Amino acid sequence: MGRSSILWEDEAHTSVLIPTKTSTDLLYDDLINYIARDLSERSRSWFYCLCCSISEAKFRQEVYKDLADPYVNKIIHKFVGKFDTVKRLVNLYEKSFYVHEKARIKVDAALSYCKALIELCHDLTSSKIASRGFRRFYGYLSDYTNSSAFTDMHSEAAAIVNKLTDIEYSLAINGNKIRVDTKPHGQDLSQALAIQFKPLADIEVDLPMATEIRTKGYFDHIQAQVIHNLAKLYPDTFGPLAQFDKKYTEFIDPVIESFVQEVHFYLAFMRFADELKNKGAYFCFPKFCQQWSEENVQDAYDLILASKMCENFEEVVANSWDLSAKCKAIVITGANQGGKTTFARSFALTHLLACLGLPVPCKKATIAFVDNIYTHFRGEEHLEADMGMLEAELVALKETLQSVSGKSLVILNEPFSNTQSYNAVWLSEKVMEKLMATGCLSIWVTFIDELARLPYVLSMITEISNNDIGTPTFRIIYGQPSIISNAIAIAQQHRISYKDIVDLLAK
Amino acid sequence: MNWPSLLYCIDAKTNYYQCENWADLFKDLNLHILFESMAQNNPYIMEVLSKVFTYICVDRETIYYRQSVLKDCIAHREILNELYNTVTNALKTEQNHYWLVLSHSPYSAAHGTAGVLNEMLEYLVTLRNISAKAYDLFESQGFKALFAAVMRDCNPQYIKSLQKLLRAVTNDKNVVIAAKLGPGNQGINYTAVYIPTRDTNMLYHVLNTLKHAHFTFTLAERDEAGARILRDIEDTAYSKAASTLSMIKQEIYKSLEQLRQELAFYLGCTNLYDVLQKLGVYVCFPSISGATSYYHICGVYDPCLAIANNGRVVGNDLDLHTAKVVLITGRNGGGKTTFLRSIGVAQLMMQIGMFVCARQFEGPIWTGIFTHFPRLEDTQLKHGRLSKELASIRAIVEKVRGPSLFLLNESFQSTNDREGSAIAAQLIRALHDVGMGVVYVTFLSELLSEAIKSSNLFYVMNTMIDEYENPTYTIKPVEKLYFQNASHIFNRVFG
Repeated sequence: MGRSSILWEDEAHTSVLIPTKTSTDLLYDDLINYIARDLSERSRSWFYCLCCSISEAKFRQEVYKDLADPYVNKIIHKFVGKFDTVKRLVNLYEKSFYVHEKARIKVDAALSYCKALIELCHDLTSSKIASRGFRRFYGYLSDYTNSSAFTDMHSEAAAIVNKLTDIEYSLAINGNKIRVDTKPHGQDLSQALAIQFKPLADIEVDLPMATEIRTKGYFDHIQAQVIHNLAKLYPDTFGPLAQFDKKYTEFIDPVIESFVQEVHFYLAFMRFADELKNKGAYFCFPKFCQQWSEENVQDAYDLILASKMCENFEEVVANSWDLSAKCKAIVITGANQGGKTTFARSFALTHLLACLGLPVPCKKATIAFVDNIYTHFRGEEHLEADMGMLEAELVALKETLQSVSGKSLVILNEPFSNTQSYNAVWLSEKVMEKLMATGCLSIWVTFIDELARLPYVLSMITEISNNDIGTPTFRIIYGQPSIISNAIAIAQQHRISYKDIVDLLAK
Repeated sequence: MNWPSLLYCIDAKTNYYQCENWADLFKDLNLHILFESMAQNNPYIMEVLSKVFTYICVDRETIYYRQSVLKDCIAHREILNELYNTVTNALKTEQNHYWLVLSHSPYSAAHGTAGVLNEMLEYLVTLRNISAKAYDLFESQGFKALFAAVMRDCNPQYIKSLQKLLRAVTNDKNVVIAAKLGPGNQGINYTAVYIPTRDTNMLYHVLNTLKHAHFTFTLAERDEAGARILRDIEDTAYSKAASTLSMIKQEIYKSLEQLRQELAFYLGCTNLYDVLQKLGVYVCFPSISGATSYYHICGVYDPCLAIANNGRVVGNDLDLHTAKVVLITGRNGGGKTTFLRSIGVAQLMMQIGMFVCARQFEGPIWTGIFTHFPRLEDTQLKHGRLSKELASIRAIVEKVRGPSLFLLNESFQSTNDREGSAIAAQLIRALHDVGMGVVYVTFLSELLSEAIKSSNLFYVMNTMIDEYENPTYTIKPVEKLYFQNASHIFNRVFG
């Protein structure tokens, strides 16, 4: 199957699952619940499998770029819609138990299937697909659609459907007797009425009317009897129909089936990205680097925040970072509700998407390829100095540390915040030491400003606007933690700063 | 069946304006009394009146068109009743078949509707016969055109042919169901097909049936599911015919409903005419003023008061050659508000196309008639009353769509005389300068003493008293005003 996959470069691919805790903490589950809301379990699961190599991720980027071409996008959407119809019919076939109905459903399904594939192949011929993935699939597709097995099935199905569609018959219901006959010679009753009444009531009758029965969706014994009699009236048509059903049991090619599932993975993300782009958001394809120190990202924003702030993309804050200073950890301190957690989350999500081979929510990005992302987020419980909780926290950290490698990203959000600060400082420094030893990059959102002054640490803080009351801008900038300036900002916000008090009392 | 309207003449553009302030107008002018006399306990007329009255005519053609139709109605009461009853009964036919028509089954609905139509066609024949009889008796352009159209559309021969087709549907004789095979070999395109009987060549028909093979199967006894499916097939096949029949019925109903509404309106007008005749008060058909005169009104009275007061009313005159703000003042109980209302009601009735309650009435056409009668219930809320009142004036002014008549009753009395006068002067001056008509009942003395000095802009009227100082309920223009001096009250109290 891998031979024609548009998702995996190699047949013998391996992939890495994102830890459940990571996807929960990063709110990634919520995001995927939205993005992949219509997808099959299989297509959906791919959002949780990281590529294991840079080359794999690039392979997907190429496919994505092809799909983003308006023409290719249009023809693929068209094809996917038609393929869904075929699948629906196949489902219907399994459920039906009337011979004539079953046979007809199959011939309809087969015909739609053939038409859709021929059209796709034709459309792809005139497209500018360049990716290895698509070129490879196109090669398979044209071989397949030219095979005699395929062309035979197509012509047989077309001939049968044509003959069936041409049949016109009449029913005369008289009490419990139903006469089945060939085409009636008369005038549409509705038309006869409209024409006769025209001088008195000039109405428009060309309304689209439901001419299929309301209980549609299943075939009933009355229809079965009608068709049974029609089969006697038209034996030349119904004979080949029965033969077709016997001859073609499974007609959907497994490679084609797999292709559709894979293309859904891309299309789902693309639809989501387009929704955001329409509101003013941007995406880019990241470049990859091997070392953390080569990483450089410009104007990354938080996807989750952006998708929630439906109308005002302008208000979504973007952040940039450059790790050329060879740090091993980033420590973010500053005002509450200042955008620290959001920054950490968008940092992680950017890496996650990049390693899925998808575009990232940045203006420009060179990203270190990670082997996995681990998170350690504070729980909601607030048990003061509860040693049981602290222990549980440390156990979880230890487990994480066992999987972490030099290519991992670790996000710690307010670790040890339920512990007395002298303990928290000491514990944090210990954990930091261990994390640095693995060579991974760790991001700390914390109130412990001592961490920011450790060696190999890049210190970032929440930015405060220049106005009098010092509201946070939600931007995260490089800088040393300043406990005093934060205090002043809070005082100003509550109009109890030195200046406020002097102004008030000096009169 | 697109019959000419009795309310809107074809020549004139159907120019009419919706009264956005209808609720206020209805309340302030006591119109419920007028409507009750017009409807005479007929709820349908009542409903029609509140529709027709909310759209006032703003072109002279339509007004005169309606006047001439109304004159015919007054002259031929019995024929008007006959027309109204026939149309009403035609519209009631559905009630005899409601159980079929309301059915969710298109097959039953088609049968039911065909039955309703068949019956309704009988009434159209009656309507046609009345029209033939009345054509020469009536004089108005509206009725002549209507009768001509009815005679053209409801030709008895043609009606007979329609009834024959409808019977084919109700009797199920000449209809079979055509179908094709759709996806899954399910029947699609179920359509009822009408096969006209070839009366002349029955033999051909029989041969044709025998000529080719056909198959018949029989529904098993007690196969209720099967019977239901057959009904579904029939329903599907008949759905288009059912909707066509229903549209035909709706189309005919629409014309009949329109005619019934219009006849109901004129019936209401004739009812009022009869009531006023019985009370012994006069009415006249108004004329629309030309360039030289503005208002020329003789003996205008309030019909609502006449009805409530058993015909005892006093008529008043108003003669204005140019546009001026009319200010009415005088003691309480002197007939100021009644005079204001009588002008409003007459103006409204004229623009509905009716007669008016006056000996003579000539006036301009307004786009809207607005009343501002600050409500008594507001007096309790002393605080913020003025701002509320100003807001309500603002709301009224925002509804104006063109030159309109403003009937103000003691507006701006919620503040002191000086402030009220100043606000009022600004408002009415502004209204006047942009071409609005203003009739204002007021006590505001500063406003009145200014107004009496500028007779080119204001027309001041006062209530009259007889030699015993009793009110005569007449209102006359004055050139001087004497304001009541409070010193005597002071003296009376302290003296």
